[in-house]
Amino acid sequence: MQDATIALGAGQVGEHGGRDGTGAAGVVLNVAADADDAELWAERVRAAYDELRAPLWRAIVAWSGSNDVADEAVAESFAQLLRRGAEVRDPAAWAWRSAFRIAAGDLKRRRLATGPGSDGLRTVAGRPDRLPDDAIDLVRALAQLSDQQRRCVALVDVAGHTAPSAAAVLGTSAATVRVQLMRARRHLRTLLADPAEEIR
Amino acid sequence: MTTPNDPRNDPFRGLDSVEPPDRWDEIVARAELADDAVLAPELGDHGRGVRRPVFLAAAVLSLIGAVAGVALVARDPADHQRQGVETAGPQSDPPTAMWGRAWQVVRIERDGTDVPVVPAAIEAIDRTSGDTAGPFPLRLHAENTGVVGFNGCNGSGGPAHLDGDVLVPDGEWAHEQRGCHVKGLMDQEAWLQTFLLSRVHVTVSGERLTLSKGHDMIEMDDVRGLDAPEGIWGHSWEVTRFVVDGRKSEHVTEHPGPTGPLEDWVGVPVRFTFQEARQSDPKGMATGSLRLAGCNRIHTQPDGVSIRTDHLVVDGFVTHDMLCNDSPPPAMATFFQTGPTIELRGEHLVLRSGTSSMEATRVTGADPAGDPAGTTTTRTATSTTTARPGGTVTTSPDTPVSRPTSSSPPEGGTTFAVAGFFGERWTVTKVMEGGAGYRFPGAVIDASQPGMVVVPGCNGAGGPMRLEGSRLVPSGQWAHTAVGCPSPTDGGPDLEARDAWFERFLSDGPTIGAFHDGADGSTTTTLLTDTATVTITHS
Repeated sequence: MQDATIALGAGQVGEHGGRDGTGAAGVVLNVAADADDAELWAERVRAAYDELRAPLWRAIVAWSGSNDVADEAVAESFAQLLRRGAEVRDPAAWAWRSAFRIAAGDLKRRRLATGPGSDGLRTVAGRPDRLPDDAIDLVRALAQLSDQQRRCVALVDVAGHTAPSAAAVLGTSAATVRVQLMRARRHLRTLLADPAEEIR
Repeated sequence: MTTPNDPRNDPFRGLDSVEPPDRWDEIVARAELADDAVLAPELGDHGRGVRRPVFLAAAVLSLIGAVAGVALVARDPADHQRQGVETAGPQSDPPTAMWGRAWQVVRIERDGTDVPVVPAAIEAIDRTSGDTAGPFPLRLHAENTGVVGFNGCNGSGGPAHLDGDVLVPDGEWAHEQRGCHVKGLMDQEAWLQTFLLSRVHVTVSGERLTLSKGHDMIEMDDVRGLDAPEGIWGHSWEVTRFVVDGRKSEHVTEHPGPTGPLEDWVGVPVRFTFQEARQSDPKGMATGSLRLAGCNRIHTQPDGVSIRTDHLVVDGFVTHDMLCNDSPPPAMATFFQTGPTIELRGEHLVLRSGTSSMEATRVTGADPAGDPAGTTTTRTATSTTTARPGGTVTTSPDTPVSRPTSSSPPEGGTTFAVAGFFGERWTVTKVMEGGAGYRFPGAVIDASQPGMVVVPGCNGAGGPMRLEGSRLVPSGQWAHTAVGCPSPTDGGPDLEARDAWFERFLSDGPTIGAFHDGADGSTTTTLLTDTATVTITHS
């Protein structure tokens, strides 16, 4: 039982079965299930983390320009996933969506923290450390795109999503993703061919 | 530098060589502890505005998880020194006094009707000790950060502010959507969420918070306003409300008055008494006993009751197999053995266990050593009640019971003026001992002289007696004759045995039960000891 609590988090401390020892069928993990179920959920989340950690992190770095934001968003999204338990039907899809939302909130806060006169993403993100030079070039080029274009490139070209799956993450249509991708790639080619275009 | 010639491949492979660190351990730690951090009053910049939806969800989750913690700190004396919050006071406080406090729901009215309060959790893990504990009462947390929410299986809450006395929800609120197997809990939580979002009016008066909107109302008490549970010792308590599994107990009936005690089926207030043991147990834990008023004198061993944190622990009851319709005490005994939480505020006691609860008020002036109520019935025996130490009291009907449907006396009137015992010459109509039949009918207990009781007979006995509460106790030396009595003939009474039996019975200090006035002008009552019941009447 204690293991279940650790895995599920304090938010799940609630109703590990009543005095009658019964648990309702179909309820979420923390309510009805025992430690075995909790462990299974934790293992499932761990497997999703192992699979998604790198592409998700890279996509958020590509979109946000900040490995700090990516670190935070990925860790927080999977922590949320652990806490929510089996009510999340598709952990991978949930992690993609929530990580981008968390990162968006983090970026917004950081922009506010920089105060008036900030020049947006470049100020927020600063110079990404832990990144090789070619990665830094890519991130800086991406920073010149619109937010939506950057999201599409991050999901499709960096993380390997298809247009439909990227659309599911972004809550838009596959056609929109394709259009945004086309414009983004055209712009990126220019930016990466002429580094002088990098900052303007 | 990447090559721009292949926009699909090279330009976007710059991040492929970067491997993010494995932060799984941190994730697990966050999952366990994030709600504490989110609810902490001093949120760091990094946490405060980073992820508002996440923050809200985590705050709600924390309300659920905070239950055990709140219970553990509820009686920290330092908690009384809250910032800017006035403590007790009969007059209304500003509505803003609700912030920074945890409130325990004591009453819910839906559409003008009083409904049972379902606890937030029957059983949960105490995050401090790791032990399973519970139940946990329903509480509203009003954080200084402007977040309000109820705990529970599906906690709900979010940011809000006060506009005058109106609680106005702000922005996005979070609500969990889990399946909860506690009966009535999901319905209650859905209603609570709707209610809390309906711009309720806030009234704070000392330790009491009232939220109201139209015909809906929730009354809550500040959890920090609870007295130490040890205050139960040494007092008798009169039950004012008894809810079993979410429904008012059928064993008791409502008093006509709004605050009157509950009554058993012969109209006698239902009471119980906690008596602290003279010595604590080896661990220093205060122990004591519990005695339920009633025919069967259900009680614990002298050290059969203890208090652990805020839970009442009753090892088991013992009783006597009297034949009497004594249903309230057995039902109460069952409830006491479920380990209810103790909520004591002055003279008001609330015990909660799962979906059952019992409310009682302290009886002033009662003798806790005695049986203050001395409840008994004047009806014929209808059931056998048995209890085992460490076990559960059960009642098994011997014969079909025809019980009144209200607290009205079955016939005539029922009073409980034990002083009426004196001044009368009583005829014994029934003697029951050990659950067995009639013995010594026709005997007389002469109490016509105040303070003196005489049992006439071959070897009559008598002596001074006085009332202690509802108990009749010897108050001086008794006298009895010692003559040779005739041997019992066939069918005749054994006078010598009868006289000796009554002398012993009265010296045990019997409790006087309710007085029932019959339609024929007679008055009937009972005298009770641990082993016997004597029914007496006079015209």
